[in-house]
Amino acid sequence: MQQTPAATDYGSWKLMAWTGPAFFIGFFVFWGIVAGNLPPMAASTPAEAMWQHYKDLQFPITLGMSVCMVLGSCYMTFGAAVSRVMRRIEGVDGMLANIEMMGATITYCPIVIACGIWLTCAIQIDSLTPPMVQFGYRLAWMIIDLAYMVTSWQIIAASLVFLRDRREHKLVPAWVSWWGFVTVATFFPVSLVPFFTSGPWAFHGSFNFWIAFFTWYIWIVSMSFFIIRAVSRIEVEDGAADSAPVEALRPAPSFVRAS
Amino acid sequence: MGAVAAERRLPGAEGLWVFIGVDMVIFAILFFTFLDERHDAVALFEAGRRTLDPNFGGVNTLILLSSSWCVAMATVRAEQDRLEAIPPWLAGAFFCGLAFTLSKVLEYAGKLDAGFTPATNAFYMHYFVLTALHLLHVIGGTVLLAVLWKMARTGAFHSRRLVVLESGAIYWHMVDLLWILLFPLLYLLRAPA
Amino acid sequence: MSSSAWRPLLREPSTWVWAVLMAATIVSTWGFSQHGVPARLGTVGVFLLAAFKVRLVLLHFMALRHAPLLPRLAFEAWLLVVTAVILVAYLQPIQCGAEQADPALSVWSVEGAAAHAGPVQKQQFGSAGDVCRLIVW
Repeated sequence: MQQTPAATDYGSWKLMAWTGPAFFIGFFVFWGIVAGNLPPMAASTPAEAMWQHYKDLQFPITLGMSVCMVLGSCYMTFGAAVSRVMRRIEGVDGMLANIEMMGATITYCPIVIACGIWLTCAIQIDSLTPPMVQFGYRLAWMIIDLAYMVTSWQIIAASLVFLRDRREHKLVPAWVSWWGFVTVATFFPVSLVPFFTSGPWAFHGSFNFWIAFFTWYIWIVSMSFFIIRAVSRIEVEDGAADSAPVEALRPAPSFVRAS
Repeated sequence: MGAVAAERRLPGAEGLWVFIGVDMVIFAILFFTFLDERHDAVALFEAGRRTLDPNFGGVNTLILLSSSWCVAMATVRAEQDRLEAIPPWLAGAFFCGLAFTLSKVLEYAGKLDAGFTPATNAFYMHYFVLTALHLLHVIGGTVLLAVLWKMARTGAFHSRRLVVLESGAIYWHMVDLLWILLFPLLYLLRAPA
Repeated sequence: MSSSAWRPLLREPSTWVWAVLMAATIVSTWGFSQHGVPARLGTVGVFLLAAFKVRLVLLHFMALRHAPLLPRLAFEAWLLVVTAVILVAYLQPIQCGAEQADPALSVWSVEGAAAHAGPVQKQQFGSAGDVCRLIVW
């Protein structure tokens, strides 16, 4: 890894950008496949069947959820990497970069709480009654689903800033930003989740699970890809500025400008 | 030949059509979900459909089509650099958006008064959710038209600065286009006797 | 006075597109869907007119006729698929009321959910109308 004496630590920046793939691959494997959430158990499943589901999958759910609670934090570090790229477009005083980072960080909270509830349902299964399992399972879904607006703010902030990028080849292409707006749009009907146990608007339904979550997932995957590339591109841009004959061309590090 | 190729372009902001396309695909999926559920309960959906007033839907279609025309004319005037002629067309489009919203509110009020809610049955669930999702698009678009109208009055749009106006117009035409299909799907899909 | 104000508008293609769209709407809303017209014929007519209207909006108002071929074909394909699925779903024969309508809503209580278990659980992908979903997925 390259040593940089200047203010910008590209190494850890790149490392944080790579936590994006760690998040989306880890969640797909441990939440989706290991814990058997693809497709998720239906909201309309009777309590006894929910209890049996947790009894049958006790170990896979315990394993999957405990890994996810740890890996979920990668959404925060990924958000920080995105925020730093946004700062290069928005300027050091930009508010949207802050909103993006806070949105990503707070998104981790419902994820860790929901996974913790599902985890506890699994490890405690022998001492829980079926209605208690049903309560826990649905509680976790309500928390994770209805927290969508915090993630929406994150995505709106990132999309607005990346659309304003004046580079000839934007750091993050315009279609990713517009995909972000689509993701935000698909989140709103998630508000219907408390009112349905079957059909497209239930938390396992065709819209509120398969469309809303997968448009978000595709956003994370594409954003990760372009953020990893953006950090390398910024490193090259800075290098070009460094080798320019006039030293003053180089943007001063933020702490110098602030003083 | 070359000249023709050079003229071919997608209007509006770069990447906008991804949003338009995905939004349309999502609505298509919602249409198909409606048809799928209708297939399981044709009688219930037909009874529900008959409680709707097609006059509301038809008039709303006419309103949105006129609104689309106003926006299209505003774009044409901008291309012709007739700056003073742009704001009235956008104002017309904006008031059509308001009229659509008002008509929808009246229609909802009538349905709720008559005791129909999204909880009534599967048909009413689809009716309220689909029209409400579309109405959210209309409300967003109406706000957008108000902003465009205000911008046009300061001379913000002309033949070399079209992107913002074009993007707004394309979004508004999409809202119109979705209603053109949503209206017959909910109001006019008659089950054979 | 008013005729002179309108005359320039008549030279704009958008005006003619709008007039055709308005006429088509009036025909389908207050013509094809009236009781005098047989249900199947009228409904198919309504949707063919709707598809025609959507295509006018796409090509003229949204200016896809000036767009590169690929996006234009993509949006025309969307229209084709949506219209075809609607018509196929509408025209396919329906089994006589054997299937009971599954209420989309149920009470958020344990009793409600337990009562829900009694009837046959509705499959995510199972009934005949799912042709629609398969095309999309």
